[in-house]
Amino acid sequence: MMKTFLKIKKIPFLLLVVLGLISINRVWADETKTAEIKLSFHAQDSLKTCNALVMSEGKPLANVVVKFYAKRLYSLLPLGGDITTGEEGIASLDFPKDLPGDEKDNIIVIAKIEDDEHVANCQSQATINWGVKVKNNDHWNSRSLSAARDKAPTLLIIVSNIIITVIWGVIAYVVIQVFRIRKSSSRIKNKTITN
Amino acid sequence: MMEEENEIAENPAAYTEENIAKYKAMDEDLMRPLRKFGWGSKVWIGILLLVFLTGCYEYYQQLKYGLIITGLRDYASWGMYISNFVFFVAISLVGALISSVLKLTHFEWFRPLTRIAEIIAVAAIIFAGLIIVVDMGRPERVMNLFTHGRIQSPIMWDIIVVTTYLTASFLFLYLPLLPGIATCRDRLHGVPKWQKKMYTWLALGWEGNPEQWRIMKTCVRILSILIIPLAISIHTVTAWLFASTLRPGWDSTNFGPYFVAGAFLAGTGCVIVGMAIFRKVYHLEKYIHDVHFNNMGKLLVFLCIIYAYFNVNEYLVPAYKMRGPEEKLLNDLFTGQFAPIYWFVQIFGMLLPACILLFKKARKPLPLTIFAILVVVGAWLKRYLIVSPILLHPYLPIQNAPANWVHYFPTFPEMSIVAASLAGVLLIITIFSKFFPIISIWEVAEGDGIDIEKIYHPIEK
Repeated sequence: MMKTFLKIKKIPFLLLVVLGLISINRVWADETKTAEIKLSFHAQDSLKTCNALVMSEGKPLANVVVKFYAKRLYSLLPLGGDITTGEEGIASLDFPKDLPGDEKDNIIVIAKIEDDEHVANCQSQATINWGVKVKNNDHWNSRSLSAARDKAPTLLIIVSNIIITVIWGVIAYVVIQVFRIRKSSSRIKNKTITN
Repeated sequence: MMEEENEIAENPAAYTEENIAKYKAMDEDLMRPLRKFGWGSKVWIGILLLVFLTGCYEYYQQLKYGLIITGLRDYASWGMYISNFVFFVAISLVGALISSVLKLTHFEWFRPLTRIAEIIAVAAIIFAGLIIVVDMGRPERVMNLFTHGRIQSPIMWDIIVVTTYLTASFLFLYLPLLPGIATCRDRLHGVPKWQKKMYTWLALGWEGNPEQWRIMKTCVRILSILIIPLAISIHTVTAWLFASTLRPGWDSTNFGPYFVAGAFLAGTGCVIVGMAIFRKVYHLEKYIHDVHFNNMGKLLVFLCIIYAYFNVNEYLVPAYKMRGPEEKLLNDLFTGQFAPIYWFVQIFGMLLPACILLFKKARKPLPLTIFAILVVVGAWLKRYLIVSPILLHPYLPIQNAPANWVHYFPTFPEMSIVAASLAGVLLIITIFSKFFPIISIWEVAEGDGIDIEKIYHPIEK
């Protein structure tokens, strides 16, 4: 009797467990959608925009925070702060006009979704030649305070040499006088001997 | 003055006789310390040698194992050694203050103190140069400064100024010493042969003839003028070593005069301590009077006030703003790990002497010497505060730096080497005073109205 009761009761219990697992799975699946970012660049007059289209399962994702970065030598430079996607799933960044690029003016732009409640972390990168031309630092070849010893500023060389020559000239004069003290003594001795 | 001239005109022979007697007595008093080498001196020199040799051994260890045996790391790369360097440069300035400035401004009371000031200056600048080499991990590379030095670098300016100032200071000590050396050569009997030879060689055949006096006095006058800009530039350039570096606490346009003011104060403190010791040990009460202490005390008060003014500028103005890394540095100084040293320096090294020495009774030899010792100790600690805490608070901290990089405390080898350098300075001063008169006899005689050029020759004959 008891066994039959347990068997009957077990079925809804097992059903509940299965339903529960399915719902957890659904919720989990909802919270960690895998997404894809597609970067595109648009220039209109002087306004340059970088768009990140966030898609999941072929549909655009709204209200997702996207962070833009520019790749620098040692680390990533954040651009524009946190930007949220609109209804079309696009996060739009006004591209800075003063960002130095490499020798071909290229900048590697990275868009990231980080620590979002509903979308798993993902990133995408693209290269665009919107970098500002940077003059190579040629201080090594021109006269400056930071240059090598043979490229010291001319004025500094002249002034410092004048000061050093004048001061050491005075010291040299005094040293010569010291020898004159000695000479004057022997002269007197010689005079005495001659007399 | 007129009365004196009349007296000479009336009886020149009596005047000369009297002055010769006066000069001879003076000569005898000041030569006495050179005639005996007592137990006290031997023990003192022995202690200094022991400290010096211990430091030499520790330096040998440093050469063998490298700077790793010190507390210096990538953060505090200038620690106790550079603090000590700045201190030596500071006290070397006193030679210029006492000998040149007071001489050129016709202050007469300074005469017995000139040589003490000059030997402190020379000894300090010798060890300032040496301690820089000690701070180098690869000392043999010091030659690279001469072969590959860049005139744009403040380090190069410092090398140029230190060598120039050392040469000028040495000449400034040596030239007025010539009559004294000649007196030692002629009248110091019972000394070893090598010592006699040394006097003969160093005296440059000094006979006290008019030409020799003229040349010597002209050169001393030239050097008195030259040494003032040199002394100021040596300390200003040392200040620029710091000020041209972008760091909180050093990034100041005030640093040159701030260092010069501090150097005058430290040097004056050293001269007071020196004159008190020489007066006591060599029984020079007849030459270093209470009036000298009184005047030096007044000078010390004046310099304390000037230096306090610069301290207000250097600490309180940034403290009013308390921006970024400077806030951390100032908090460390005012209330943090360096607070005991900071407040000791401010109170005992500056404010207390400035207030108490305003009273004449405090400017008597003993209390003044105690305050001067406090000023000197405060001056050394002040240099430590200028160097070490600032290095620990850079504008751009090193990421993931090991814990022992962000704290600095000197190790035993460092302390021992620094103690050796201090002992070295004292050794030079002590040995000098054992071989040469520590008070310039002819300058004191001249100050007493004796025409030294007229009477020197008959005496030596």
